[in-house]
Amino acid sequence: MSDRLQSRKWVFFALFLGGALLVLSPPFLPTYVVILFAQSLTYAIAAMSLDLLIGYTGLGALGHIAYFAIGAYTTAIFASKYQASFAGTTFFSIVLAAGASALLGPLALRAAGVYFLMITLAIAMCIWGLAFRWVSVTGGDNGITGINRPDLGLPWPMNDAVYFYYFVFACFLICLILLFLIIRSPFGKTLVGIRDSESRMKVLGYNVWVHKYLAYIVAGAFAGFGGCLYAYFNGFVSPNDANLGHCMELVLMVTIGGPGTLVGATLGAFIIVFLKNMVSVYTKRWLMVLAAVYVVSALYAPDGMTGLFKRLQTRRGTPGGEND
Amino acid sequence: MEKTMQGQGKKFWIVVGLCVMVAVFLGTAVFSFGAEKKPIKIGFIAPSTGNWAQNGMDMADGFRVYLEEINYTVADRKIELIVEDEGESPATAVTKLRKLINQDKVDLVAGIWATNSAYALAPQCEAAKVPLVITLSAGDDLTQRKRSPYLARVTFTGCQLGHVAGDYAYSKLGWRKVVTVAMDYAWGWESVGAFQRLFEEMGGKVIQKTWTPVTTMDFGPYVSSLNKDADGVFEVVTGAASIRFLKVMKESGMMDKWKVLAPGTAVDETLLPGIGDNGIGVYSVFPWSWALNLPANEQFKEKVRKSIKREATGTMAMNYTGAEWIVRAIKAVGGEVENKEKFMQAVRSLEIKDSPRGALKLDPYGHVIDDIYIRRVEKVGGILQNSIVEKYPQVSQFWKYDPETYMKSPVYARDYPPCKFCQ
Amino acid sequence: MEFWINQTFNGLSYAALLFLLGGGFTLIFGVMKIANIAHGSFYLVGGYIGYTVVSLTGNFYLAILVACVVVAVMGMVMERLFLHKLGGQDLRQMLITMGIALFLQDLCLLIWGGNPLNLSVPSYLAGSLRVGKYYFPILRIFMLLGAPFLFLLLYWFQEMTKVGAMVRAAVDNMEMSEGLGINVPLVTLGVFGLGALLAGFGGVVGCAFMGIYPGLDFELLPFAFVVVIIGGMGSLQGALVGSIIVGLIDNFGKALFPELSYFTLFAPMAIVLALRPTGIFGKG
Repeated sequence: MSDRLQSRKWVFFALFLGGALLVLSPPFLPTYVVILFAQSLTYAIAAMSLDLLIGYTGLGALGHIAYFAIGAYTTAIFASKYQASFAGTTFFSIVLAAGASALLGPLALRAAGVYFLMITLAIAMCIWGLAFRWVSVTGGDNGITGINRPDLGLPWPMNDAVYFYYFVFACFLICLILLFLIIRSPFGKTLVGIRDSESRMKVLGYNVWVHKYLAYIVAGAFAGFGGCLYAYFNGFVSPNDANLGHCMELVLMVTIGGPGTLVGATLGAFIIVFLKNMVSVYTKRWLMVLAAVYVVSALYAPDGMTGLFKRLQTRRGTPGGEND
Repeated sequence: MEKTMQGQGKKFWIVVGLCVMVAVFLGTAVFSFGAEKKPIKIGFIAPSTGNWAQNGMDMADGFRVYLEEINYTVADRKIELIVEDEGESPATAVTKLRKLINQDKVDLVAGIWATNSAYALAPQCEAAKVPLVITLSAGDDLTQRKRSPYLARVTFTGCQLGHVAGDYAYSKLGWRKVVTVAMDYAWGWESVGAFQRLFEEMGGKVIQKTWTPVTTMDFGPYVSSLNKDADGVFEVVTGAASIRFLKVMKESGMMDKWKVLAPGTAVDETLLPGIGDNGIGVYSVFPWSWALNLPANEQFKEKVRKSIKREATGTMAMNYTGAEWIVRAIKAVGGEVENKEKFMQAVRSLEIKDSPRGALKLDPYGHVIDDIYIRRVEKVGGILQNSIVEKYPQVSQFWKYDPETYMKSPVYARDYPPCKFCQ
Repeated sequence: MEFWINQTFNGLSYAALLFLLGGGFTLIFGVMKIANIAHGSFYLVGGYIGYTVVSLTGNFYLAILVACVVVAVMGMVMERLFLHKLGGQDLRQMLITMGIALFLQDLCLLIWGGNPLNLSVPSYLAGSLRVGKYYFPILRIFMLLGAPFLFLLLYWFQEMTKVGAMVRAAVDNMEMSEGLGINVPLVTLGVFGLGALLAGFGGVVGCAFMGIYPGLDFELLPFAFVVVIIGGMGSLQGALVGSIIVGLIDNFGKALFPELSYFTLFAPMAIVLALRPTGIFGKG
């Protein structure tokens, strides 16, 4: 009994430390680090939504970045061409991303296992191709520039890195809480049941397909919102944001952090964003470093950092061993 | 006992956490401490990966050749060149720019290869109030409707080369009907747009406009669907794709039928070996050629040979003059690049009479006025080169139009000018 | 008329290249249920090696041989070292193949630089065959004839030989095959090598056809995906039919609707997914 309390205390403490870092440190950190923090959080929202699928429902949706990209483009177009407000861009980003996932979900869910992986990846490539060639809407390879930071009517300028970061953090917190509530709800518990054994859930009378479909749509909506924030962050959106590299990176964020623990996805997002941006300062071969991360984490840490952490714990705290 | 041990553990981690935070803060703070006279940091953005990788390397090489000449020092300050990868697409460039401005805290940004990257980067430089001196990329509007006091360009634009091409095609090549094949992004749109406008104003007709994705690998389908009724083709296919394109043109027999006219980037000296004999006879428009017979050019070529043991290419030449421009401007303000307005004023008012390209000066909108040459690919002494065929002296980005009137119509784009004679 | 003949010819010769790429991909998928993201990298490495061999020796056929062998070995090493242990864990395997793809891409950049390279074919393959007012590049004819020949060879191997039967058995039911005494690990190793070999072969031919440069691996991968999805994952005939469909649609699409270039490619894939997710020849 006390090890569980013990390990839970560690978890809470780690969360507390992480949260403190995210909330308190930005005004004291170098600008560039704060900028990377903000970028990590936009991806973290998308990564968490993907974790809902991979970690909690057992759906390996490799192409999830497509909905992030749809959200990003929607915001980009509405903000730059129509000067839409934040409320407007958020609304449309989420609606369009959710709509796309509602439309494409049935297509993807016709398959299972590795076929599902392939098909979601192929769908993501379709979205990329669309962004690339539908030049009149998306600007094609030129992307969309001139996305100004949202005017929220607050006294703090959004162009400042620290203020913008806190804005993104607030949005992230809302998403985290919402997703946490979803996971704790009966719906969320059903998803976990589906992940563990689909056949059992079917036998028990649950409509597995509908649950998967709803999870897919919900995940798409959150990813779209992440994309919306990303567009504001980056000031620029291009087909690159939905390419194969980004597809797999989003998955890597989930797996390296630890699937099935929302926080793991957030941690993974931070790790990957910082890795990509910082490593290139020290070596030109940063792609190889990223490659090593893919391979090593898949081989030795399939449950990600949080899984590693848990394993280290159980190794230390053998039942009845460490208490006095 | 348990409680104390837990308490100890917690305290330990809190201390560790605080130490980490302090270390991060101190570490980066220390790095921004300068020496006596801080070096001038120039952020240089050029592709080192992807389709444009070789071009990017030429850019950095050309820029460095000039900096080496002055021993990386100007007005008693050292110059620190930070080169970042532009990548294959604007997205990478945007990320790197963010790092240059926020982490490296550069004093100015130079370079840029791809037109669409320039369009993406310019607004971000302006927002951060960091001077941007473009030493290669095009992008008409950056020095026209979207001009900024923080931006200057010393190279060329699609419209500048396109206008000249249109004039040459009509008056010297005698073309009356033309098909165009261009890469489907801003560089292609603007070059073709300018060509079409002038060509049609002079009485010619563009009867077909084909746009190919930037990543096209197989130009076969595009080439074989070209309207055979034309007198010639104006093409804007750059980088490695140019090699593939010209190969298909040759293989399909089109090269024997028609003459090919293109902006010089299609037959940049760096590509000529790869293009090989497929390129012989291709006409191009560019502010420089390896074969340009100027004393300053001969000196430049010799410096390149000594420094990087290669022959000079168009891209290198552009960046060499860009570097010279920046350094002379820095000298003009006595090294005070921190005063950005003053620095940009110096950039704008500079003139170079004896560059390897001929005489250069900037117009009031921030773009260069220089001599544009028509070249033709020929084999001289067993080596392919762009022989000079014609010179258009001191061409402005606005050609002979009045700038304010010119800017009232939209920027050249995919559908502008509209293709009235398209069949 | 001229337009249709030219485009069909171009489309089919491009399909030949796609078959090499998609064929290997589908073989690997069929036996091991792995979507090999490093497949484009196999093509890339093959092309680069072919380029180097031709530059050093001038022998096109030697280049093909060396490239095939090297890439096949590479593929087998990859399978044995990294993928074998993770049988059945699709996500982990895909992540590993992604990591290897990035590694190979960077390695090629390190060794061969960022410059796009072109392979020079022997003179009898360069140039075009003139038939009336049509020009048919000889290299394309070579590809057009080579691919079906290769297909027939592979098909014969798969259907008519004992080893082929073992492969088919392993595809259908791995456990039973092992029970029957078939050395399944050896079969998977061999098939992975064969799939990689095809990609490497495609790389050399592709390098001669349209050059090679960093980033080409990820640019070609979507095409391999589409071929395999349309044709059916795991089926050689599917790869052939899929590549023909994709080659023709891509060509005609580019010529007739240039703006929708990628869309004309992905639309048929979406249709196939909607109607028959396992592809035309796929096993259900």
